Amino acid sequence: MTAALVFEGVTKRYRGAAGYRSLRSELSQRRRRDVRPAPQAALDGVSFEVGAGESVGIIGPNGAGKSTALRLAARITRPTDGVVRVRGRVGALIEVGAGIHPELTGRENIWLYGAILGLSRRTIAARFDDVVAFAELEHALDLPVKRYSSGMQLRLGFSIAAAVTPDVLVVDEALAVGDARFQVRCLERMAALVREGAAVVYVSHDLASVQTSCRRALLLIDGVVAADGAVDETIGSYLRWIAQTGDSDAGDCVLGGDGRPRTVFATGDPLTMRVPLDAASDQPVNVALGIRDGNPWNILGASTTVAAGAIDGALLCHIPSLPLESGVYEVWVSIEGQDPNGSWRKLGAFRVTGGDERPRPVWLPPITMAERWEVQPR
Amino acid sequence: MYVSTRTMGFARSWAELWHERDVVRAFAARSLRVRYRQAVLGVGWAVIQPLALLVPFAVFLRRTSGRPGGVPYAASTLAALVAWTFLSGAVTNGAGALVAESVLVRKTWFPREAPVLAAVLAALVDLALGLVMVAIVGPFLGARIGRSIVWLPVVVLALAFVATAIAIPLAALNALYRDVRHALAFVMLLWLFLSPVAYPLDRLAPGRRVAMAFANPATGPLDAFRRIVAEGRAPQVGLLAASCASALVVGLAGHVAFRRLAPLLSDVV
Repeated sequence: MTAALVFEGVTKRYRGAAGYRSLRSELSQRRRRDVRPAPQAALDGVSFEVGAGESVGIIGPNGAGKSTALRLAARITRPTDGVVRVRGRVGALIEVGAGIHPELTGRENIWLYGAILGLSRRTIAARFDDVVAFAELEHALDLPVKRYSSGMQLRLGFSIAAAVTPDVLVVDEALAVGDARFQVRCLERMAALVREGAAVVYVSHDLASVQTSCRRALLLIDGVVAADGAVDETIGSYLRWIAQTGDSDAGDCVLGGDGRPRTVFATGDPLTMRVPLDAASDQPVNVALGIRDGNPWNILGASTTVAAGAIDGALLCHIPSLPLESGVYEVWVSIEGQDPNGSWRKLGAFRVTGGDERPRPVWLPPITMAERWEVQPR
Repeated sequence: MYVSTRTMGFARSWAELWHERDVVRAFAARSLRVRYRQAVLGVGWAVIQPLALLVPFAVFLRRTSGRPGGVPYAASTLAALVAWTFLSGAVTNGAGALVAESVLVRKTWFPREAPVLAAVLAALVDLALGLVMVAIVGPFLGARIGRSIVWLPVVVLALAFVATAIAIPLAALNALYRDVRHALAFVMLLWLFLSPVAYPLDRLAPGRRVAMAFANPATGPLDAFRRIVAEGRAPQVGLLAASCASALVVGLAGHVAFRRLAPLLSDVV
């Protein structure tokens, strides 16, 4: 299998301070030989290969260099050191909709944004109907995009970008916005591209969706490849790292039966979820907890009302026996009053191992019922 | 196969630009459509600007400039102003093109020359409108047209070439350093007065004309434009060639600089 994307010892350092740069000061600085502090390396000696038809996830904490790696793969920027090789055309789904112009109609944007992304007029003509159907915008095609809702704009941007059939596709959490149904279709589109032989690199914080979409994953920590292998193992390494370093992202929010932070459980184990609370409210506060398996909805949940001003510390939710099959799960929380409009935010993540590790059919949620089958003769 | 360490040679980068010409066309179509949809004056700007500038020039500078090529000052100067409107529009919009598309520059890949070339193309559309205006208004001002009008495509090409050669390096510099755009407005003003727009080139001694054609590559095409569009005279081919040679040198050096700077743009724009 030929490699479609190769990183060889790639290092990327961003120059100096961001902000106003003037030609005048640049020229005068050179004469004075100011010593500038050496900038941090966003990526340091990163090497990996992605083959055609392979789908690789990149996970890691914020600032680890994931987005930088994608931008390097998409030819948007160049490495300071090392080599990036790409075979064929790259499609980048990084904040889709950047090229859409609000004054033009949806139809005009499909033609023009599609061309900017590199599609020939013939290809756009051939795929036009598909794009419109995927975006579900048949009725709004001839309205200026500034009249579209933000959801419609996102769908338009994504459908146009998805119409490009690149040899290498890089996706940077562009799916993080948009409604659930659309996100599912986007992941399906990604999978279809993989089947057709594209190499896909998928960066996401959503560990469960990385597990469903990719067979292999890279773990980037502080600009260095900390792990590269089967997606399950890499996710496990990441969760272990989180537990060790107490990353506030997930650190002490998932506890085992002994009250200590834990990332790996077996089906039926006791599990405690811990929600830090500010005692600021003088009204009863509704706290909702949800467990997700990579889809943007909760598969298990619980909520409770906390009396006003009663807690300065954390709220614990004890589950005596975890009814989840093996997989990667995330804990989300929504606190009335703290999270606007009842929005949810991620609190932590954990893994369940053991049991049946075979891929489960889509219709079967990963919840055990401890069922028993029996045939009843007539 | 893209390899990040290789800077493409000239031939390959031009081949790639040609391969991606639909991208250039898309950028141009987009800015034209937006401009003509938004502004009331959208279409009219190409016509109003030269006419408006003609008034003070004609009122105050007519006496000192005589009759260029034997036609009234206003006729020849109007033609020069139409060409100048193209040049200044192409260079100003071209130099600002990468900053204008900064979002796309940061998020996708396309040949970075594309928006700059698109700005020149869009300005050519304005030039066409300006030519229509001159064809209508010119005769009233006393303009003459002769057989030399057949030179028009060549002269327009020369104008576009000069504009592109100057806009490309400016676009990269403008994207990297934010004070360039302030200097640019002033430089354009200076350039206007250093070019034979408000006054005909005949005002200069013959020896000086060639030097000027080299030093200011707008000289040859501007002078040729007013000669064929309003004065009915043949263009001075020597001056035209000198200007184009000068523009070629600037353009090649500018493109080399542009391709060196282009990979940095997405980090800083």
